[in-house]
Amino acid sequence: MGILKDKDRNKVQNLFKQIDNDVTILMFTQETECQRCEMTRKMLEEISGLSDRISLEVHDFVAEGDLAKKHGVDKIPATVLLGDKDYGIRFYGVPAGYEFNVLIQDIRDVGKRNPGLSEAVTAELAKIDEPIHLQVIISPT
Amino acid sequence: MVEGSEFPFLAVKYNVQGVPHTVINEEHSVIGAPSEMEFAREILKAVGK
Repeated sequence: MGILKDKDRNKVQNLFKQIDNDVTILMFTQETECQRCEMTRKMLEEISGLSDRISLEVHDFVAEGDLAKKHGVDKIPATVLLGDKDYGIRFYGVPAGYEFNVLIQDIRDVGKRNPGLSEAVTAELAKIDEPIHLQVIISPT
Repeated sequence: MVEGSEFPFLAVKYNVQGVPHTVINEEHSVIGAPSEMEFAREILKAVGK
């Protein structure tokens, strides 16, 4: 069983040792699960099992439409990362391939409550005084 | 983060030719993977700063 390879699992577990705050992952799927939803859910079940700080909630996009809407989720599979607050981090689609690393790093960053940006970049971003919507469109590798 | 091949309508909507392709506030596009500073400046540009 398992989606993660042993060596990946060890690497992720090591990285997650840096997490010192709770992370909640919300995953939106639906009752009749599409293959990609199922893949995402299984992957997240394994990932969330690798740290006591990480909890996973699986929700139904259709039956819990209000919750999906509250989190701005308009398509599935959707993965939402939450810390003390919502940092606006969403993954749409299976976070596999290179995106797997991005997901793991994002979980760690939320768990550290620190995005790891330089002071100079943080200072630039501090000039923004309105919500920004970013969509990074990627493809599987 | 949006998987373009799983949501092709978005790839079409934003005329994605290569990845990564970042869409800022629905109307500004950044193609490729800029440095963090370059990316921060692109966002500022998008909001007119």
